[in-house]
Amino acid sequence: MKKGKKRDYAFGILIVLIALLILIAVFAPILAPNDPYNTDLMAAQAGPSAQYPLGTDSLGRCMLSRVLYGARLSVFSSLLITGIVFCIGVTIGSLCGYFGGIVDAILNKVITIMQAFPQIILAIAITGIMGIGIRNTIIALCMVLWVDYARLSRSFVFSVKGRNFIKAAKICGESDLKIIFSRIIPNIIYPLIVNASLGIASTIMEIAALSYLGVGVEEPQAEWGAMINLGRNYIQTDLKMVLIPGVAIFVTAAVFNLFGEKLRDRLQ
Amino acid sequence: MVLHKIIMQLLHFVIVLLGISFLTFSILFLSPRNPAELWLAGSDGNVGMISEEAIAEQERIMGLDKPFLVQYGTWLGKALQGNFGISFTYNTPVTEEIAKHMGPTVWMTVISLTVTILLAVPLGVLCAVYKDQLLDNVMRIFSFFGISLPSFLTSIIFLWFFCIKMEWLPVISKGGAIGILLPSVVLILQFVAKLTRQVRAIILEQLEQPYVDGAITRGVKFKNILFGHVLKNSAAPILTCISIYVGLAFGGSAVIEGIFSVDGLGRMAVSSVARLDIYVIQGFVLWVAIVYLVVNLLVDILSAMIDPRIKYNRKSGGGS
Repeated sequence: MKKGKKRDYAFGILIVLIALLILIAVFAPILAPNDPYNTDLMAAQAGPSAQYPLGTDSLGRCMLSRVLYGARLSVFSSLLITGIVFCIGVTIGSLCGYFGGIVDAILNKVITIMQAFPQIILAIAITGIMGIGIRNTIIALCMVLWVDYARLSRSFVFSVKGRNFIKAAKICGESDLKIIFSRIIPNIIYPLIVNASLGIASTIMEIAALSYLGVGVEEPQAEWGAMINLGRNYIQTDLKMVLIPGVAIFVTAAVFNLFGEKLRDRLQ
Repeated sequence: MVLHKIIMQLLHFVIVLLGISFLTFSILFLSPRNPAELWLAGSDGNVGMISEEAIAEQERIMGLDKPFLVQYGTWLGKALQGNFGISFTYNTPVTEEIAKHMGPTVWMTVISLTVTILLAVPLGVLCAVYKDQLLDNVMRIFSFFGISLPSFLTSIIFLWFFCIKMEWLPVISKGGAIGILLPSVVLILQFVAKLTRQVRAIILEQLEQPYVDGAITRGVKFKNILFGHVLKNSAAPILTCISIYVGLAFGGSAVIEGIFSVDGLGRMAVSSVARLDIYVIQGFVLWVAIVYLVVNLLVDILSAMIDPRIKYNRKSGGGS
């Protein structure tokens, strides 16, 4: 009993932290002290000051403003991507798992093919070929990540569809689609939600990695990975250009990871 | 029967490789950028300066004016003869380009995977056996950092600390063993963080099985249960887990090779994507796919050898 209470406490804090991250993302334009794209070469690589609370980067742009705008981009894109791949993956996986047959056999080959190479490399190839930009980054990550959810939901459907309540529903004459969406999916959704909440953290890191490699967002978009890429050239003189966006990625990823783990403890 | 299985396995290989090459080819075909234009522009990027006629001519030479399926067929036909095309930027055959860059990446993968297995498997077992005790809690915090820190960030901080602050290692790698030391350490830290947790979960699942309770009740020593049964039963799922790390090592090296100026495959892939060097991209993707398929096959065979309950066939079913 005591342990349960303690866990709820931590869970509550994490929900507050996630809400805070989302609020920062929403209100970045209000919270940012400066225009994140305004260059001020006279004040380049300056330390913290009243005007620039976290100092400036090599082009004299306000680090704090850029990190806040970066939160906007990372949090919103990763939530969007996770939402899209969750819906697409679960729908495709459940339909194939339920109906089986030739479509399922093809899906299974597609899953094997998609798993055959590292997601990040496929995403690099897709964005690199389609052109750089946040829209293409989101498309590329969606194309890569839906497979995880399709694979998981497909295997969950397999374990559920032979159970008696499904047979009962069939005997009662319920349509296949109704069985899938109101009988099967509610039964398999919890582990998928846990997967999605852990997926948010890895998506944030993948967006950052793509931007870091120069195939994610376009310059001068304020994005954490892109900021680290720029800062990398200055590590001998000014480590904060790497550390500030680095801490932002770490904290955000950590909060979503912890949330996912706590969610798993609660739902299982 | 064995012959039948081998044929099925080869068929599976062929289907997956065809699927992958078709997938990358389609993406390349859908690209809004024109490889003929990029070819003519070279690395200067003054794409607008080239006449329509010259582009059309170059498209004809490269076969890009033909329908998609004809293009794919032509490439496939040549690929089957071992000709994977010529790199736009280096004018060398793709196979040569891959062979040139393979060394450091393969070494990094082998070293990091070996050390990861040697560290993570015993640690995972210890964490499971001494659940919620000191080591488990320390590893939990370590894992948490490992999964929340992107590899490129860790790499830059390592580069700063070891090469700039401490000056223990050269900033620009001169190749060789020293050059791949730091990137391997980055991969190892990240992999150990993940794999330890996975091994721990697999062992814990086994420890909760009724046969363990049964053996304890019969007075079998815990050491014997652990080594004689639990580890034996966990070996196959752990092996499957490990096979995923080969892919992760390739992905990881693509991201971090540039930081440590390692002249490997990952760096080659990233830079050829930036220049839309399509045959190099295609060749790289196929190379990774072949490695993946071979590793998976080895894991399947090993699993069947370790655990006779697993029949040797491709896990095409729902298991995740």
